[in-house]
Amino acid sequence: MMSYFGVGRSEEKDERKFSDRELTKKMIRYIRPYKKTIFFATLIIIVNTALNIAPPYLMGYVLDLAKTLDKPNSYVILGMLIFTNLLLNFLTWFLGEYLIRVITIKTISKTSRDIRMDMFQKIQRHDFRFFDTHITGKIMSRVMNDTDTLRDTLSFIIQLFGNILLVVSSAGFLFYIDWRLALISLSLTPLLFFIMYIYRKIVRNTMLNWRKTVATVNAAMGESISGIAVSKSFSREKKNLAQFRKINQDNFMASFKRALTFATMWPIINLLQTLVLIAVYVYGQNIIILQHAIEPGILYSFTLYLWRFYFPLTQVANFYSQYQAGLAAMERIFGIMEIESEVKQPTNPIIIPNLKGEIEFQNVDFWYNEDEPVFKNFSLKIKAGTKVALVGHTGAGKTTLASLIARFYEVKGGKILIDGVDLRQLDIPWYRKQVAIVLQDSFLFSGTIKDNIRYGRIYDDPTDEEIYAAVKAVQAIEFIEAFPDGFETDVLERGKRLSTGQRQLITFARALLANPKILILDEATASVDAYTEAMIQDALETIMEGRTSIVIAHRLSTIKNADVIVMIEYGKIVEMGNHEELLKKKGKYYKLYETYFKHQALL
Amino acid sequence: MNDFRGVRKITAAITTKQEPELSTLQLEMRKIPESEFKWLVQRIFQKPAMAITVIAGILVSIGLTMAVPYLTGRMFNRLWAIYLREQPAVFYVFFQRFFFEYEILKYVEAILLLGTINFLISIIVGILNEYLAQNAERQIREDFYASVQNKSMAFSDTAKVGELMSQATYDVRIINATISPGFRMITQAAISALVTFGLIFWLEPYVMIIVIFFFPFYIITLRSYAKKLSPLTQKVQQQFGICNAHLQENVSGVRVIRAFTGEAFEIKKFGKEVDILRDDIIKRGVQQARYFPPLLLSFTITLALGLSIYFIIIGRMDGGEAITILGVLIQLYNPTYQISWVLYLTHMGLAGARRILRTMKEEDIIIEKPDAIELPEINGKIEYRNVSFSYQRQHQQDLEENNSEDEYRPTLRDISFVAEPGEIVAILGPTGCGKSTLTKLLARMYDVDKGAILIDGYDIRNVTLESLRKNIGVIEQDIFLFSTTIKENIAYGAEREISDEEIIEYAKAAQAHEFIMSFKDGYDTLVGERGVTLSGGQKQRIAIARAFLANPKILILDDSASAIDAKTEEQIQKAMNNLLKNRTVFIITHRLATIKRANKIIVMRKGRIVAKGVHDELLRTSEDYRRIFGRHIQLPPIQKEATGGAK
Repeated sequence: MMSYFGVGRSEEKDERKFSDRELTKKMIRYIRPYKKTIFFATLIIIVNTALNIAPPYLMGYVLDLAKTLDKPNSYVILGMLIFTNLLLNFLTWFLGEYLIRVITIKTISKTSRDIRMDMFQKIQRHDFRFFDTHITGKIMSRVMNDTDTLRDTLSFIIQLFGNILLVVSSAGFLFYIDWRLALISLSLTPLLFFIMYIYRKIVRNTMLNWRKTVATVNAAMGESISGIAVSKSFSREKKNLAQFRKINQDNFMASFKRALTFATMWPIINLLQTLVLIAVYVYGQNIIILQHAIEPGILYSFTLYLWRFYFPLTQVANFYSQYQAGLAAMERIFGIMEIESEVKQPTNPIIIPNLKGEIEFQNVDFWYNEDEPVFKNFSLKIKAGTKVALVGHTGAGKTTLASLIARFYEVKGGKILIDGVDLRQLDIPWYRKQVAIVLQDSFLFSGTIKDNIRYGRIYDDPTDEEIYAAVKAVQAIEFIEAFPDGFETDVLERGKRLSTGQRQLITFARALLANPKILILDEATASVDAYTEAMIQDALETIMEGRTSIVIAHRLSTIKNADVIVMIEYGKIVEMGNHEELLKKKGKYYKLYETYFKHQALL
Repeated sequence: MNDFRGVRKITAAITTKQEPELSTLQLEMRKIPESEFKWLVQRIFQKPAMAITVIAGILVSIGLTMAVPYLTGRMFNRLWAIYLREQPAVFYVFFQRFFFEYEILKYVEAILLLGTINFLISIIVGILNEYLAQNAERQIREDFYASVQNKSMAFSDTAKVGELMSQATYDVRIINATISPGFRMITQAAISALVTFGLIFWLEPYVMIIVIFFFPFYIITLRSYAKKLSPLTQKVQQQFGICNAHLQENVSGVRVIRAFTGEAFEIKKFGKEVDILRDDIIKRGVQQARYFPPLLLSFTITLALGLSIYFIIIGRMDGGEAITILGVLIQLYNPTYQISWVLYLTHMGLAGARRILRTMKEEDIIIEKPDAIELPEINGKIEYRNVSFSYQRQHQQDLEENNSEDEYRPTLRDISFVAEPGEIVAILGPTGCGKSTLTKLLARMYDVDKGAILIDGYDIRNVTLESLRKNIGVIEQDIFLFSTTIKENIAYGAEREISDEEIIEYAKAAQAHEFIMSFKDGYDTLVGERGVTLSGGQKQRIAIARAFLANPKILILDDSASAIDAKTEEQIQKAMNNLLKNRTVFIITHRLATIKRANKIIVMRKGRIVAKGVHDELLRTSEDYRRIFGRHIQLPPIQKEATGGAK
């Protein structure tokens, strides 16, 4: 959106990590590949300005001449002048308007694309701490919107040079014509800047308030869309509308106040310029009539140069706040890119051929926040190929355990050994292919069912037969083929088209396709009804063969089948063994079984 | 707000047909005209007095602006006359030092006066125009909101939240910009052109010919420019949206991407889209650069000036007139440069309007019958009679495309059963068998294709939606809580003011009081995006409290999500036991304890009921039922005595 005089730019007060100079240096790195083009553009601007300098002067000169000259061959001169001027018109348009615009848009679009790709790639390498601490919406805004702001700033900077040239050359002519008039007209320039400064301050306040109301309106909108089922089932539509009207009204007031500043600014600036003109005329007539110092036509040229001076000057005055906005955008962009990942690829990554899948935690410490430790001196050995069930209350650390095994986070103390090798020494991409995770929220991408399942081995390009086999094993064929488009059915955003249970099965097939050595099921089967779960149990038993399987579940049937049950409470192992052994102990597991699992039992 | 209503009614009468009669649930919405352009104009003229003042103000303002070159011209003529000693000068003397020529001073004063008046008028015009724009934005957003609230469930299933949000925020804002400064600038440009032509024609008709000569080219290049630009702009917006969507998925799905090492794939995918975006932006930029009107204007001015000078030489014109003509023509540069941007704005505005209108016009498929009656106090007897249903039929386009019966793949086939008041009916079956769908039909989230659903003998299509839904409570699988306080979430369904004590009472019954009080702000704790994230079990209990408060006679419980620990499980059991008393309940669950309690169990498969009965009975006779529960024990063979609908 166009903002006048730099007033109304985003004035977010982000804490500055980088200095202006550092940011500018980083920016230049992205522009460097295009420096030839920029140099060419600069040349064009200089040529264009040069071409543009004389005409106003000539115009006044010719007007004066026309009154005194009336020889016939002045027509020839006139004809030539017209012709030259037409040519100049075209050249200045072609160079100054067309060519410059094309070069600018090409350069800044390419730069902006480079930055976006860079950001995206860096984000792919960030570890989970980054995603825990940054909201999705903010990340998106950085990659898509801040790069746009930056692009606008760049475009501005390129134009800046041309504008400065114009201002300087016009000022030069002003002084050339009459230094006294020049001084008078330039004297109002500081007043102009001052007014813009005042306006910026006023706008800042209205902007802040406006942003708040906008956020509220957006949130209300978003909720009404996502919560439509609930609204309908409670028949809340009318009430919601009434509430929304209030929010909307607040936004209206804030918007109106904000817009008022713009409505008043241009007229004031125009009035000022009129005053300058008046001053010039008043003094000018004195110079012309009394002092006979310049001709009227030249005075007219003067006014033309004045116009040519003030217009680019306002663009230049814009510069500071535009530059600030650009810096702020850069700050946010680089802030996202330059983040230290905890989980790093080792310098000499190890790949274990014929991985068996033995996992050992040795004195592991871990926390998300330093004052809330999850594991302290935690040790656990899981033999290769065993089926382990992790049991315990919410927050005991089961999910964390799974995340650590997958190396989504780094241990703070102690180590995790895979087949005897420290996890941190293993090649990360290779290792991740050996581990498959089925999460509780069954996230699907928008796309076909087949695409989603294929994702299990996306690096590998699995065949349709392999995909089909995985689907068959989890007994999902039935419902997939019930869709008119079958495997090619588009599941929509986040898999909206499928029911929770169906999504689960797909994520299951996906994990199956990945054929991992270590399988982690994080409360996966809990979201599925008993009937489906029964089917999955069968499939589970098949796929858990020949792998180390770690299941975090609350379902008795899953747990009963495990080779080892590990019960965790507040980051410590309280009991370990298989189902019968633990029941005999009549300890904590027994208690859990009695109060909870037993409800699921048949008898 | 009330004074606006009066004007709105008048406007509605002038500019639209009579507002439609409001039924209970149909919210107030203006009638939407066919074309988005007409709709935009209606929005601007929502306040006709203001709009007309704006136009009049612009007219006067431009008149004043054009008068200045005229005065300037006359002033310069006088200057020349004095300078060339054709006329004598007459002086005012100030403070014995400053000499001002009388006539010139008069002209200067006039220019100053006009400038000042213009200043005042511009401010008024600007403020009014701004008001029009903001007001329109507010109205549109409200209409959009009401429209979305009105939509049927089918809409929300396929609507992309992101798209809707973008329409409600970005598109609406663009329309605002189209009015201010868009409308103002268009009016200014048009009036400027007219006044310019008039003035030049009056001064020197031959110069007018030059202007007239260029004018058609000006318009043609302008139109062609706009026409070529529009699809390019749309493409950029679309592509931007695609990149946005990709990015969002990438961030939301990061766990999956990392788990399956999909980073390289994602980078390639995003790279493709971002490259397309870059190319689209460049294409648009190049077209924007091909803007000829300023060039044509320059040509016009050069030729006009040339002709004027010729006329000066032959004595037909004087210098002042040339200056006036020049001054007037130069005024056209501003609108010339602005027009391209304004056209762009208008395009975006119309595109945004089109999108918004399309969303708003999307047909509601659940329509309340005009003679719908209120459902009275009910006992809660529910009957499904030969109900068949398919999601395919739920979209208007599908209705037009898929009319063949053979493509009809019903989600529910010929469902019939009865639930007596106070009964607990458990619904079981594999994923996708139609359990959730069956319950959604009860609250008329969708309408059945065949058959009927009756409550206490009333066909639910014959009653008002509001009265129907007030009697049905739903606790869904993925509990949706609003980003507000716990208190407000619990009170969500209430029709009247609820006291804090009542809320606590219901929360206690739902076994939620304890954990709520464990939060620092207790019942005033914010939940949702800006507040605490509740666990599944906690959400469920709040939903239960919510249901308690609403106290419906019929309850639908979709209870398949149960990722909770034993302690919470126990509490939820307790809460549920309370909740299920004295209501007719449909429950989708796999908790055996609950199923055993059910008065009726319905087993479904592929959209049909395959078994009906109680637990022990079904264990004996139903193959499907045994599949679910009989895995751990050896069961005697199926007794072939006929019970309802086995396989």
